[in-house]
Parts: sequence; C-alpha cells; structure tokens
Amino acid sequence: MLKELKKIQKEALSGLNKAEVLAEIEKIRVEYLGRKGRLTEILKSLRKLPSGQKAQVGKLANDIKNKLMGEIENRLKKIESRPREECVDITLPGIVAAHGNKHPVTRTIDEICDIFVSLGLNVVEGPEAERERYNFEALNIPLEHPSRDAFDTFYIKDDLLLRSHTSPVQIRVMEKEEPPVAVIVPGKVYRPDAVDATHSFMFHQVEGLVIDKNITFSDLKGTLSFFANRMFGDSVKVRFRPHFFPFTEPSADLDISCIICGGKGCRVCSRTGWLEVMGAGMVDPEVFKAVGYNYEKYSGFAFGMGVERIAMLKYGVNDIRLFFENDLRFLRQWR
Amino acid sequence: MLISYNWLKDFADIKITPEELAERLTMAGIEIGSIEKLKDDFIMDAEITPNRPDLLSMEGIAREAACLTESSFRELNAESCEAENSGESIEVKIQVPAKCLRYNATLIRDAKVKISDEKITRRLSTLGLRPVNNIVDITNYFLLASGQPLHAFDYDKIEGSTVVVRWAKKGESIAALDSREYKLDEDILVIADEKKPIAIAGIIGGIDTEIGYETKNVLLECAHFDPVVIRRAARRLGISTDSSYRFERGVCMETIPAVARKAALLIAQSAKGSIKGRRDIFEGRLKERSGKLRIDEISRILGFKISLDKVKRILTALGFEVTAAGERSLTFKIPFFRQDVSREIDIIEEVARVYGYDKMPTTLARISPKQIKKYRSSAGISEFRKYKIKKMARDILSDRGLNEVITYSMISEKSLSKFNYLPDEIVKVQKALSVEQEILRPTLIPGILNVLSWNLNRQVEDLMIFELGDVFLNKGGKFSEGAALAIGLSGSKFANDWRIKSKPFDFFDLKGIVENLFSRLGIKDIVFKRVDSGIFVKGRSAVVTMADKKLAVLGKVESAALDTFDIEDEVYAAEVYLEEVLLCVRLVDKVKPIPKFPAVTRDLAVIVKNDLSSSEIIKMIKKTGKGLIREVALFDVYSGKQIPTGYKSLAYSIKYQSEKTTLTDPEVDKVQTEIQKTLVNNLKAQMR
Ligand SMILES: [Zn+2]
Repeated sequence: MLKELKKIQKEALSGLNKAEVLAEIEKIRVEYLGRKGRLTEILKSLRKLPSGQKAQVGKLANDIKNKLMGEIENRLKKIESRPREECVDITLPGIVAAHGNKHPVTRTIDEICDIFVSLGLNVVEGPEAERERYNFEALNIPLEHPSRDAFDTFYIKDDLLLRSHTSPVQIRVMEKEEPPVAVIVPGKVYRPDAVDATHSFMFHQVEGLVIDKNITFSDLKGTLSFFANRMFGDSVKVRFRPHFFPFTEPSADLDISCIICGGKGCRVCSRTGWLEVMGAGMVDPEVFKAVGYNYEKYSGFAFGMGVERIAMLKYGVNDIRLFFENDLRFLRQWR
Repeated sequence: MLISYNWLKDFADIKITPEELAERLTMAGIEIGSIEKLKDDFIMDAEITPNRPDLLSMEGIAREAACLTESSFRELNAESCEAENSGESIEVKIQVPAKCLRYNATLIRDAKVKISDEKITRRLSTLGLRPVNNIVDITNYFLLASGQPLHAFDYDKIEGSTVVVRWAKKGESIAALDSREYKLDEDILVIADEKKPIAIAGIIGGIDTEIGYETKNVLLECAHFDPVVIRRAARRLGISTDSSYRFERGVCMETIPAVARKAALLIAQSAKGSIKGRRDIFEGRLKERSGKLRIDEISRILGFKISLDKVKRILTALGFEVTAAGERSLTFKIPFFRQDVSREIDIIEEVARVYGYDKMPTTLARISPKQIKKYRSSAGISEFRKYKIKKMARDILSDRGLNEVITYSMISEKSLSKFNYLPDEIVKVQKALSVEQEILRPTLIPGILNVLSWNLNRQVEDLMIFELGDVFLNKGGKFSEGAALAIGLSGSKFANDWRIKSKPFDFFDLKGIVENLFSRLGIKDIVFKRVDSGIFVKGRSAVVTMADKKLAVLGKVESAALDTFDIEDEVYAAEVYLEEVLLCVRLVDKVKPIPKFPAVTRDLAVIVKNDLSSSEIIKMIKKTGKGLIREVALFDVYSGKQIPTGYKSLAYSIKYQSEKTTLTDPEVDKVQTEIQKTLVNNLKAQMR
C-alpha cells in the first residue's frame, strides 16, 4: 500500500510538472483527488485496513493529498501568471486598408515638377483650348512652313484650337508678368495623330521657362543636367545636341545614356546608346518681340518634354495606349 | 535624308571614319540615325531640320562636314554663276512672277536617250532613287548633289514649243509621272504648254512630256518656286516628292544658272546631244546680306568667352565671308544658301553648334525670389495654390483607396445621350479622328463610366476611381473651360476583409468620400440637398452646396445611362466642380483651445415620418441646445418591427459641454427635456 502511495505521488507530481494548461491540471486533480480519484479511493479504503497499518498509511496518504493540493495551487498560479496565449493562424491575411494611387502620368508629372520646384520654379497651368496666336504666331511658328508639320492641330472653331504643345503658356506668362519669370507648366496637349504604340492624339507635356538678366545657355545645360540626374539617376550621362525649334535659338535636344542598356545600344535606343528626353533652347528674340520683352536686357531658356515618353522609358511601358485604357491591373502597379 | 559617305568625298577631304563623321554631324545638329555599309560605301540616314534646306544635298552636308573636321572643301559650282541667254530662242512666259522668281531653261537637241553610266546609276540607287534613263537620272543626280530640283521635258511634245508658268484652271487635270491623275485648281501652280499643264510646278512632271527612248530634243528646267505655293499644292494633292520637299523648304536662287549649266553639259555629253539654247528669266533680286556679331553678345547668351579668331574660323568654314574684324565685333557677308541666317542670334547659334555644346560650361540658373508674388489667376488665387490644391485632392482620394484614371478629353456623342445637355452647349471638335472623339467632354462622368465598363468587362471588380481634368462647355454661346473632378464606385467594400461579409457600395460610401474630400480641403458648412437630375436615380442623388454655390452632384447612376456604357452593375458617381471648390478651400485654420470642462453624453431616440430628414432633426436639436451642445451624432437608423409603417426610428448621441463651467446632471436633463418637447411639438416626433 505504501509503495502504491509513493507511486501515486510520483506520477501525480510529474504529471503536474508537465501540465501547461488549466485543463491538464484539472484532469490531474480529478484523476487523483476527484470523488473517484485514485488517492480518494485509498483514503476511503483506510477504514478496512488493520489498525496497525491504518495510522501509517493514513498519514502518508493525507500528506500526499496536502502536498498534491499545494502543488496544484502553485502550478495554477504559475500558469496564470504566465503571459496569456491565444492561438490564431498568424498566416491569415492582415486587414490592409484598400489603398489607391495616382495615375502614372500624374505621378511622373509630380516627379518632374517637384525637381524644378526645388530649384525655385513655379507651377503654372494654362487652358487646353487655345488661340492661334498663343499656339503658333507668338511662338514664331509661321502659318505655312514645314516647321509647322510637327504641330498638326485639332480645331474647335475659328481661332480656337486644342493646343498642340504646352508652349503657349510661356506666352501667357510673359504677356502677364514682367521678367524675371521662372515657371514649370504641366498639361495635356493634342495632335491628330493616328494612334499606335508610341502615338496618341492626347498626351501630356511639361514645359519650363526661365527668364532674367544673365540667363545663359550654360545655365540651360546645368539646370537640365541637374534635372536629368535627379529624374533618371546619378549614373546617367547627359548630352546636348543642336536641334531646331521655331521658338528657341540656339536650340538643343537633351539625350540621356540609355537607361535600358546602359549606353551599349539596344532596340529601345535604336542601337545609339542614347535616348532623347527633351527639347530646349534659348528663347528666340522673335518670341521676346511678340510679348514685348527687351531682348537686349533679358535672356532666358525654355524646355519641354513628353510625360508619357519619360514614364514609358522609366517604368518600361511599351505601349502608350495603356495609360488611357485605365485597366486597373495596369494602374494598380504604381504603388 | 540618305547620305553617301563616298559622294561626300567628292566635295570634302574627309579623313575620319564614317562612324566618327556620324558622331560629329550628330553633335552639330545633323542627327545621324543609322549607318549602313553598302559595298564599298557607307549610307547614313540623316534628320535634316526644316530650317536648313541647304543641307538637303551632298554638297551641303559636305560643307558642314569639312567645317567640323577642318578639312578642305570644293564647291560644286566653282565656276561662275553668270546667267546666259543665248542660242535658239525658247518661249517662256511667266504669268505669276511673284511665285516663280526664276526660270531657267536649256534646250538640248539630238540627244540619245539610253541607260545611264555605271557611276550615276550606282549613286542614285545607293540613295534609294530608281534609275530611269540618262536624262532623268542626271536631273536626279544634280538634285541630290546640289539640292536644286531639275526637270526634263520632251521638247517635241510641248505644244507650241512654249512654256507657261501659270495657275491651273478650274477643271484642269494632269496625268503625272507617278501614274496618278491629279485634279488641279486655281491655287496650284503649273507649267503648261499652249494647251494644257505639262507639270505641277515644283512637284511632279506630266506623263505626256515624259522623256522616253524616242525623245530627241530635251528642255531642261531649273527654276525657283514659292515655298508656300508648293507646300499648299503638295498637301492638297496628297503628294510629296524629292522636288516638292526641297522647294517647300526653300532652294537657293543664286546657283540656278550654274547648276543648269553643269547639268546640261553632262546631259549633252552623256546623250551626245548639243546645247542649242539657254534662257534665264529672273524676276527676283539677289540681295547681298551682311551681319554683325558682338563678342559680348556671345558670352551674354552662351555664358562663356570665345576668341574672335575662333569665331572667324568657324564662320569662314561655313561659307561666310568676314569683311571686317574689330576689337569686340566682326562683320561678315552671309552666303546666299544660308537663308536661315539673318540675325545676330543665328550666328551665335552657328558658333555654338560648331564649337560644340559639350565643350560649354554647365551652371545652375539663379532663380530670382521676386517671382513668388507672381502668376495669379483672374480669380485672384495663385497658380501655385491651384496646383497645390489639385495635388491635395488627388492625394486625399488616392489615400482613401481610389485609383486615379486619365481618360481622353474627347468623347462620343452617344456617351452623352442620357445627360441633359442642350445641343448648342456641347463643344465639337472639327475633323474628329472618329465618332468616339467628336465632343470635348462637358463632364467627366462618361469617362469614369467608360473605365468602369472596361474593367468590369475584364472581370476586374470592386472599383473605386476618380479623374481630375478639364471640362468644356458653351454657356450661353460663350466657350468655357474649367477643372472638374469625378468619382465612380462599383462593386463591394470589405472585399479583402475575410472576417466580415463584403458589402456593396451605396450612396453613403460615396457621400462619405465627398465629405472627406471637402473636410480635408477645409470646406465647412456644406449642405447636401436632394436633387433629381440627369443621370441619377430619383431619390438617391444630391447636390452639394455652400452658400448657394453648387460644389458637386452625386448619386446612384440610372441603369438607362449605364446601358449606354454596357454596365450591368450598380454604379455610384459624383462630379465636383473644382473651379468653384478652389475658391472655397481654406488650407489654414487657427486651432481652438481644448475644452476645459468635461462633457456629458445623453442618447435620444425618436420615431418620425420617413420623409423627415435627419439633418432637420439635428438642426432642431442644436437650435434648442442653447449653445451647450458640442456634437450630435446619429448612431442608429431603424424601421421594421415595433415601428409603424411609413415611420423610422433615429437614435442620436448628444454631447453637452460648456466652455465656462462643469455641467451638472439637472442642468443637462433640463435641456434634454426641452429638446424632446420641441421635437414632439415642432416635428411631430415620438420619443422612444
Ligand atoms: Zn539602349
């Protein structure tokens, strides 16, 4: 019997030590101390024992009972004082607030404008429906000359057209303000082009204009190089190539080393290693004349770039139509 | 334009490789797109800007190449350019002298038409021209070499042996060398004989006077035509030829006799004929042009100093003749072929171009701070503020979970069929590309519905989108353009929350987005009023006003309107009149002190008729609250069991707070009772 009791004590205590949750402790309590528990049964059967054994077995059984009760108490306290644990499947998805985003074109416009705003330029917008004088004549674009071929235009009525570039806003700004001016002009432009992977009858441009005393071609180079490196990365090489625009002279195209192949030559850069990203130049004296600025006193530069083209190069978009289809599976990729 | 590397060497002693030359030309403004090896030659594809017609020839490119590589250059017409009228007389009548300033004709008799010799054939085909016969090929050869278009007629087929330069007559037409028949009109200049047009001036010859193997006598034309006239005609007729391309941009009048002489000599030699007559009618005048360049102006525009000596070398190599050189300036004669140069800035550009943009310094422009006060719109707000608010609106909505879209400003007439626009309010685009783009949008909603439709049709669901852009309208005959913002919702919310059931978007989701937008733009005191208009479902649409200014409309879109866009799902849409909103925005608000005394909250539930609006109840509660009510919040709307039909139960939580003292329960109870009484008496409400 004593042996039996010792065995009970050993088993009960080791069971308790392993118990980690309340249910296990309760199970042990019921097993040993419950109404039909193993220890309870022994205590109940004490009466039947010979009196010689009764005292000895009775004492040991009661000691074990007390000890067990005490241990149960301790164990309960220990478990309860432990940090709580609630088991969940932590691999279930978190509840993410539905987040939207800005259109990649807007995003690119913001990127461009932010760089120039950081240099002190002001954002100015102008109307999309424009008068001929602002879209052409004041910009020194003659009515009938091959240089106008690049500016085919949608007309709304006589002397009202959809601007074919953002340059008219230059004229609007200069007509209204005396120098110095420094503006950056984002906006939509329209050209009746047949739509394909690289052409759209509506697209976006960002135009810039800086006029003051002593603004030089070197300033144009420096300012636009700063932009190109901010926009496309420090490692990008920049070059300026002479070009022709009716409203600037000298004029330049700005090329960056191809961001696809790193300048080695690929399909995107037509094997040249260079990508044309914007046109620029010193504002033509004819434009100054049109807005009544004094060319002998002031000088300035202007530049313009196609937003979709830049976004296509920067984000590897191969078809301009994607921007205007607005398939959410495309748009949602701009986080 | 294609360039032959070997042909250039006729004119210039180029010692660098084709690749190096291409790089130099590109960096001087003649962009070479590609180089291709063709037998022992290299063919470069050059982009010639429209201001430089003088580069539309091998001679012109070679002059530039010689200048850039500092090598020697030989002109095509080294001999005299003297015009000559001699030999057999040739009848030339110029009826429109203002549009044909020079007409040179040479008569070559007894020519034998045959295949050209190998050199000419090779050079033409190298540059993409199909060899025809020795006469035609020589005219093309000189076009490529000198940039001067020439044309050869079969003299015996010119009726009356008379050449007339005149406007075409109405109803006239011509069968041209490209086998097409062109209908002419009075704006088109032609070369005619006594009876009919034999060529469209400066563009293409007629088939009747074509040089064939039976041709014996050749009339060689070398002329100058007005660029605008040629351009108009070419566009009208839908044709562009090597000749018209050059005339449109302007060819040099000065060298006409010399080119004609050279070409005629070569024809006579090749065809074993003899030159029997020359005629040169010159109605224009060759004006010697000169210019002056100040050294200080170079540094003012370019931002660095360059020696006069260097400038002199550049200009001389480009064909300018420096006539005087002072301390700080020089004067020079401008060559005839450089029609693009007349001003000092033109010369500065030449200097910059040849000097090399790469070698110039780079500096950052100094921006004057004076500008911050500039650029105000007519409404008085600054352009920068306008841009900032638009940017904010985009940020607010995209943070709120909406995706921005950009749709075309031109829409179809059909897409507006369910909107209430009057026909003369709509702005149309002339010569629209298609019926899908006939109208300049008066509203952004069709664009929004198009995007929803596109996505729903591709199983992209649960859409929240917005667009910000300009809309166009004729208001009372006056055209106007202004910014607007539209929102569209379709599908369900909570779609990505697996703990709760997703719920379809409803009016209050949309209203919440609009309220959010206004409150974050600092626009308070807006009122939502019921409105039954246009494309919205009756009873589920509202107009947002502030002090009688209409700021937005919103609602559930009518299914009839959705049908036009092939949408079966429910759609909620809003349009915000941004031009009005821009004027109401308050970006800065002074902060209010945190209340010093505690607030007491009491609930209030009322049963009212269905048609009584909650906003009226709240208004009444606040009015009765004697300035002690800080906030009234609706927390339950119920109708059904225990509520009579036609009635609804509304429950509010009223927060009482005083700025001066701690409110006691009896004080609050008193006000609350009064509110209850007022609601019962004035709004026939029943307390719950
Ligand atoms: Zn590349």
